[in-house]
Amino acid sequence: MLAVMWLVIASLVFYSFDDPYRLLPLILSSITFNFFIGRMLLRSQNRALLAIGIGGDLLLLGYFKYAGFLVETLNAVTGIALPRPNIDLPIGISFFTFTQIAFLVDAYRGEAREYEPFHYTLFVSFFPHLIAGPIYHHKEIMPQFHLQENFRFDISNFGFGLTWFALGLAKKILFADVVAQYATPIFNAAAAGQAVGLVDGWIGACGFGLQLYYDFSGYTDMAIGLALMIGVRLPLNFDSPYKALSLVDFWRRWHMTLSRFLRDYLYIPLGGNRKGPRRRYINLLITMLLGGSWHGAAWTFVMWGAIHGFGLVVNHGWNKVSYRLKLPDPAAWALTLGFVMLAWVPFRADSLSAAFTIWKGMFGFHGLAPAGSVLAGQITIAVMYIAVLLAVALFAPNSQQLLSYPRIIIAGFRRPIRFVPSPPWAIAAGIVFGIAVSFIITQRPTEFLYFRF
Amino acid sequence: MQKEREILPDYRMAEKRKWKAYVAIFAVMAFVSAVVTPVAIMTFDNFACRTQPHGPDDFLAYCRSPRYGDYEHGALYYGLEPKARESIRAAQVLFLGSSRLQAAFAANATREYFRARGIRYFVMGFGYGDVSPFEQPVMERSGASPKVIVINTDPFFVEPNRLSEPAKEAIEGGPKYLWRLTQKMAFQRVHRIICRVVPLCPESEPSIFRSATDGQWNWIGPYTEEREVPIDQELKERIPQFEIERAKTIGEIFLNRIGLDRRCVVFTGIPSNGLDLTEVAEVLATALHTRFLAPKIDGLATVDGGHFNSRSAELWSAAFVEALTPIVNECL
Repeated sequence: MLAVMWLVIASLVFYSFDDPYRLLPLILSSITFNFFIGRMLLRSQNRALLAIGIGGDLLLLGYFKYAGFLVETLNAVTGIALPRPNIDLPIGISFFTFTQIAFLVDAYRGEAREYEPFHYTLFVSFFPHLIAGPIYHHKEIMPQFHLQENFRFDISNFGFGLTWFALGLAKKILFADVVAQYATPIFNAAAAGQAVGLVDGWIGACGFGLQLYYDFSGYTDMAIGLALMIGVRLPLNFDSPYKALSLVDFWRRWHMTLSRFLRDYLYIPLGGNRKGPRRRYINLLITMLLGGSWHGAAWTFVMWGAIHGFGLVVNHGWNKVSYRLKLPDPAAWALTLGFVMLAWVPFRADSLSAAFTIWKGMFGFHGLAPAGSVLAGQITIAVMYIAVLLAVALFAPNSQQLLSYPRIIIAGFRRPIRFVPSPPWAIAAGIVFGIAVSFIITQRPTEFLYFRF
Repeated sequence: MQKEREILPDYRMAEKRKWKAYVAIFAVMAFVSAVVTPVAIMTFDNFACRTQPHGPDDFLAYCRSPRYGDYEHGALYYGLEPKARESIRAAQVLFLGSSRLQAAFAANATREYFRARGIRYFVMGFGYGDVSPFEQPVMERSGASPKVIVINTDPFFVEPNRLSEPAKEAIEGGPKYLWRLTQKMAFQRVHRIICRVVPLCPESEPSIFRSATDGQWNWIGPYTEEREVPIDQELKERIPQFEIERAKTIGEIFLNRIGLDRRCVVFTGIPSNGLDLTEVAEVLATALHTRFLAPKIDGLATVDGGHFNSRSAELWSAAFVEALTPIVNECL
């Protein structure tokens, strides 16, 4: 229990370090509210109580995340001029709110247990996952908090976690932050109303797609590594999404814990695929629209969600009508990747008009490079860097394959790759970690993209 | 979760000893690569800095490459070039001033004069126009105790806040700055070895070398080519009177703090276009009761209107050190 208390305190200090007077009461009140509602639900399974619990959570999230957006939209639609509330989004609120909604739903369904207050607080606030996930489930985490042996220092856990952490840090610092240098100026130019050429448009979209993947999967690897160091195993969140051969496949590989949440707590409760194809497609669209909105209060995220919802509807429809017309794998892969990259544009763009500017550029409406490229003399190096990162995403084993799968055969390599605590692995991981740290010291890393969600 | 449990093997089964060795090797390699990588990056970024012509104890004081820039401010302030710090500490004759001083004494005549007499000296001027507010702390941090000080009063004594960016950065000394300074120290050594072994270095970025033994710049050639811009006697301007008055006040404080006999403090005004520095030096020397020396030589020229060319530096500094002899004999 002492270890749990210590971790709770450490996690709360970590979370509220930046603004303790605002963040600490916020998270503690959210935890307390959900803990007691959950406890009552476990005893009564009262639907009204569940509605109060989820309503309270959504109200909190809505106030902090969507109030400004709603006022802006209302002003735009009605022509009135309500003042936009200036509310700073508390870090990680989307993640800890979703984690607790899942708990409430499971408590109502009778699929949760009554937990000790400290264990529950640790479940919500556990520092490796708190800021940007992975969005874990109480059933996979709570049992680990009850195991005494998890809280004893174990050199194998520490070393294994350190390796995961090093890999994640390298992805973030050496891949994501570097490719961001090429993608960001293009989106900034579009936001400033500058026309974007075909080459720049694709560099921007693909560069951002790779930045986001290495940034977020790097963060997840670091979270998994940190948790492993103290004996806790977090769920995986990425499984080489850019290798996907369809959009359905992509969503099984990208932000897997969010997909799982949306499936279990939104799509299936809406009826899933149990009420006929038409209803299924509507459910898919609703799920993806809300999933998009979860990422941020802006029409660009709604657009991103809508594009993916529409894409999933087409994908399922295609599967249904053309099971005999299977696309060759390279064509399916190229189509999926192209679609996903196009869809990242509104996800990153500052506004819908900036997104359309980039899209127009990607389809050649502004020529190859109107009035010179945004990247000036860096196009070749940007293309090369993107090609290398894409090749790594496509042909190299991902983190869990590299570190955990017992046998992975990589094309061109005869020997299987398998992580073992051996000197060559220690040398390689140590060098990668050292290089990433030296980049942090000498250069300025960008912030994690998912922190703002 | 079932799938993930299968994916993550139970490494607790592995031997603890192997894991201990693994973590130890990881830590050592992480440390080594964290130290080596920035130097490697700096070498890559500044590969075009010069390594030639390089004296036996020179360091790269400045390179125009944007990732290197100035090194001498931090190096002398923090003693990153230990031999230079030792030379400042042991110098019997210390020359102070700006880059004009460095250009004027970048001459073999000066070196040979002091070598022949067995006198240790250090030319401790700085680029970017840094004078008393920066040179005083460098002197103090280096433990300098010269017997003779030569100051190029152009006008040298200025308000404490008149510092260049490199000087400010050095004095503030944030961890990032110090880390970068250390990288510069390591880089130039690695770079020199690489360029000696593989003769493919472009040697193209203008660079200034500085001797750690006597502080003299080696800059005509590696930084700028020899030019003949005559010193125009007709273009003289006067330093405003209020600035001279301020220089007197600040000079008094400076000299009191140093505590050297004023008969062993020599003011000079190195000729240059634009300002009559000789007159300023004489006025300040009279006001502060120091010595004044300014050899008059015709036909002097600069590379840019402000800094002596090589020929003039040889001529002027030879005359200056000869004229300095009685003072040196009296004070040493």
